[in-house]
Amino acid sequence: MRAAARIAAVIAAAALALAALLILIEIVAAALGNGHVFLPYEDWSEFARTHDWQSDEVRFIAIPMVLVGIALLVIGLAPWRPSLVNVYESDVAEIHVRRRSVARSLERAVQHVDGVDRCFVSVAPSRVKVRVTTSRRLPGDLRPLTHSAVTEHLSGMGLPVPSDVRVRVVAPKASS
Amino acid sequence: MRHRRDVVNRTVLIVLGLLLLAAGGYALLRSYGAFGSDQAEEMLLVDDVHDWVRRNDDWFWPVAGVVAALVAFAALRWLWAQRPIPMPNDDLVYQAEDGSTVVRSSVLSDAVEDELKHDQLVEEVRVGIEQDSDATVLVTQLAVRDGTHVAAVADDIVRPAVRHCSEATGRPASARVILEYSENHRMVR
Repeated sequence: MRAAARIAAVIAAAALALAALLILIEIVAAALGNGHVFLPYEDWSEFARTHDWQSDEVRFIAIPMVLVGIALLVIGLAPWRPSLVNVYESDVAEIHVRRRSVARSLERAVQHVDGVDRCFVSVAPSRVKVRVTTSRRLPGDLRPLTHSAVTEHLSGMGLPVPSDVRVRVVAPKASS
Repeated sequence: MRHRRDVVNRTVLIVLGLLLLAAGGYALLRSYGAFGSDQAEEMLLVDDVHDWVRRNDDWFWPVAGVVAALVAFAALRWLWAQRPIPMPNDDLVYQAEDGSTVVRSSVLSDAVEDELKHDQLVEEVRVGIEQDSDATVLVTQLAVRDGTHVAAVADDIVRPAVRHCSEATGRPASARVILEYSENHRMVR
């Protein structure tokens, strides 16, 4: 969500700056006795004086405003998990590891488990979620094998093993 | 710095979201007659407002211009804050009675990078220098071979570099490391 917020921030900041600068240019141009430069505000003023609140145009503008507002609120209010996890601390060094990097490393480790076609891993400070796709019709022991691959890989790297390791195996549906 | 940017992003996005939701929601409610049919049938820009702006245009437009300039400035600052955070580059200054000697941070960071790069387990490294009042902090972004144990990173890779930095500068040193596991292995150097 942090990355989404940063993208939203770039878009919103650029849009806001552009809009404010255009308005400033129009105000200065009007003060100097010129007509509009970029924004046809004379047409907009005319539109606003000839259309009521029930017009379709108002609704076409208002609906995206509501949707964008809700999207920004969701991004702003959603919990942002820390991107770094502190894994080592001494008088000489403190080491933080990127959650995403640990997830990619776990994916590479799980990929070596026999029967795994694809996998996706997400790492939170106290939980690891693994989604494994297999082409086997009977996944059999894929879940415990994946579970132990995750815990062994984390232990092997000296990283804390969360108590909550969830493995979900997606297998093709058996045909009758 | 990263934390401060997150707080600013979160705050501004929430404020903008609330403003858009309030404005869009008000327009929709009024459009569908939530405030009565009279209000719904009113023009978007009523003559009273138009006349009021015209009567007060000697101060209204200058104020609007200043507000637009402030918003543009704040938005550009916000946009600038989204750029990647650069590595710290504090120079090391040795004060003496008859002058001072400056060791450029790039000299120190290049030396530490060179040392770290020569470790077999290290794939990529970037080092920035931060000077505390009593110690040098090596701010290090380190990509190591996938599966490397954290203790090996701390004891075999970082600790010697910190020790050498401390010996070279004559000041205590420590490291703040951001670790990544690399998929691609480097060729033998």
